[in-house]
Amino acid sequence: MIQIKHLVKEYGKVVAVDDISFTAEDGRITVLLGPNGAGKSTAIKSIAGLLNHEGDIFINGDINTTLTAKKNFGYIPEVPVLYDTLTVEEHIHFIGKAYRVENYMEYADELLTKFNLNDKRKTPAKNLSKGMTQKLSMIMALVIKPKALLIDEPMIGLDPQAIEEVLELLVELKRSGMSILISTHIIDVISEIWDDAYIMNKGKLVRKVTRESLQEEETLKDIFFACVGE
Amino acid sequence: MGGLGYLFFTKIKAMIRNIFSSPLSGIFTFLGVLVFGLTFVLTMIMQEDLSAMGLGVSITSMHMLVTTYIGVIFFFMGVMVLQKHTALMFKADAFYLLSGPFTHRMILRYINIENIKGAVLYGLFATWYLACLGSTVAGLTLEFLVLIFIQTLIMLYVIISLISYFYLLEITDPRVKKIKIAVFITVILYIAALFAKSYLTSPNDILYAVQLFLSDPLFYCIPLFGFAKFGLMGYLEGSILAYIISFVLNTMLAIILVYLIEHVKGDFSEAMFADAQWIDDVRKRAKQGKTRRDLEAKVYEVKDVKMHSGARAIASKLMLELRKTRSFIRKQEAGLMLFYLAIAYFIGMDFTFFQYYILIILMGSASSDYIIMELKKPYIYLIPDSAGKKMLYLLQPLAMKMVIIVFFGLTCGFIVFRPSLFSYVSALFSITSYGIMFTAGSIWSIRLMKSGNNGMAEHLIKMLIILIACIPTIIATVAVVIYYGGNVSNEILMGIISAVSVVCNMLTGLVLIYVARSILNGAEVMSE
Repeated sequence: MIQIKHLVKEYGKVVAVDDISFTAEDGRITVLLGPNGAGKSTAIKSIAGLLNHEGDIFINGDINTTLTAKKNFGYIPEVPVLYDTLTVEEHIHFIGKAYRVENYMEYADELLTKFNLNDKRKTPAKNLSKGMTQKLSMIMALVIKPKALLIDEPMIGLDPQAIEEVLELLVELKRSGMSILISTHIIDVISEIWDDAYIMNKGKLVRKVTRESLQEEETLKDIFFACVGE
Repeated sequence: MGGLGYLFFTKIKAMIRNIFSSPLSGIFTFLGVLVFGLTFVLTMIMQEDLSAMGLGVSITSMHMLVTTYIGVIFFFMGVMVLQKHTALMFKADAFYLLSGPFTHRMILRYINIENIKGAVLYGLFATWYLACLGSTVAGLTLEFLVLIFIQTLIMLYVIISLISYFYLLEITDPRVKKIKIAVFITVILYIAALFAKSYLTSPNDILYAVQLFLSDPLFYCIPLFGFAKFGLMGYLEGSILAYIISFVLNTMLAIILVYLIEHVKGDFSEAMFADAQWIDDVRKRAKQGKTRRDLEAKVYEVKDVKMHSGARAIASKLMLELRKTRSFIRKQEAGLMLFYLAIAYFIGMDFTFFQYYILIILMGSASSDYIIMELKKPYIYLIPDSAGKKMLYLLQPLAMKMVIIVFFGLTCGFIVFRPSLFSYVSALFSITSYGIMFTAGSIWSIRLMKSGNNGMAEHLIKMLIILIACIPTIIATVAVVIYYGGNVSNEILMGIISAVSVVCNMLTGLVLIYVARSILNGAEVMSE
């Protein structure tokens, strides 16, 4: 579970995130929606511990900056952060060892097969295509078997087949009890898999929507545009 | 081995693997290392030859050499201290360390260990630089080179650690920046006071005053730099104990800094991550040919802008950019020239020797940065004009800059060393002809390496092109000697050889540049 309580983030006089509170429950896919500049990425980076902030953030009951919390969440950034000269395998070994995950290569092998990266194991990151770097970034977050997963714009750079694979995987992970928080401004991509949605605009949370609460004929997109304007 | 240990060693392994990932890159890196090693061998051979001839090294010269060397390292520190913006790590490291399951202590320890890499790399380069300098004085023994390397390693490690420490403190207290600069200025003032003291002792004899300054024992009181000089000069004067004392003192400084860094308090995650992102942007743009100077350069307003047509518009645009950033001739380049002039003068060298320093500056100035930047943009290929003209105008700013450097440098040398007018004029032509060859080397290094990802390989290709370009000159020179033989006096023969060399260098360089013009026909460089 990811709990955010009264999160505030200011850059000088600009309030990027203005007192937001929400929870990404276990076993559900929570989406943080908003137009560009709404504060989504700032919120996500604050959760990941990369930004100082006011307010409290808990990962499975532990404050997000503690070691216990860090061991329990995986973060997939919008732009993959990789070591250019390290191979796919070396990236996985680094993460596996850093997080002290036992037998990480077994699960890594599964993920490499699922993402069609088996033949790229010895390829340095700088020689991977954009889509492949995105997949490697996902594998690195998943190989630690996190209890919570944070994803910032997950589908950028992926081809349609890869998008389908990722969506299937996310649903699989959700069913295993993981809490998944996705930040995106492309609603169409997550329209089939989301459970809870929080809509942000200009730093504030303007609406919470659950799939169960949707009226007939009503879509998340309709609600989104109603909240933020066309 | 833990995650961070695995990362540290894997990165080194990956860096070496990357260097040898393409045969061309690997070959040129290997040759680069060979040339690097050869410099040390040559300086040792020179020392042995001089010893065999019974020619000792004057202690004054060694004071000059060691002080110059330490001065360069101090200058390096000054550059780091005065940086407006810096970072301790690149984005990938920052991302995984700061978001991963690592304590502050672990992150800071990793920084301490990473600093070793920087110290070793810069230390090797600095020792090589000293070997080059040493060969101008009297050569150096293997033993002394090893001791210099060890001392340099520790000095650089302390400097890099000090910068890291100040960086971390500044995050929580911006006042630390002023303290950092104050410490640096205090050292400069102390050195200036020592020089003033020496000058006042002998105001009518500047050379003697400089010698007094260089051998002033009060210099040894400066932590790190003074200690290093104490040890090196002590060794040269026969006292290994002095070296051991200086080694221990500087090592203690290093240990203290390691401890201080690992115990820094405060939350530095956000600042460290932001700075890591920034330095990554700088690096990415550097690969596109944009230097950090270009990114941070202030932009001035320029009036009287004239844009010519056709391929000449390229030169107009480049000159406009240089004028807007006032980076046509940089202060550092002028400063470096005057610095080398001072070294040549105080070592007691002559005008001919000073020309070698001008060549060193020219090699650095024949930089391919802005050329790569231009070649990475589509416009230069789309302009409907001949590749030859485009090449001409692409190189025009570089050519103008070289002429100015050569003229300014040699004129300063003419004023200081007072060579004959003939020597001065022939040097102007001769150095310019080498400048044309360096430019040809730059163009061909881009043509062969394309992306500029391997700096060492690029420099080596430049040198190789220049060596190949010297072949016609050598052939022509031999032909002149055979033809004229003993029929003319030596002075006339040297004059003819100089003229022939100049003409050959210029022609060869121009031909190489002309042949490389096809690089402007397609997007060979853009595809990288």
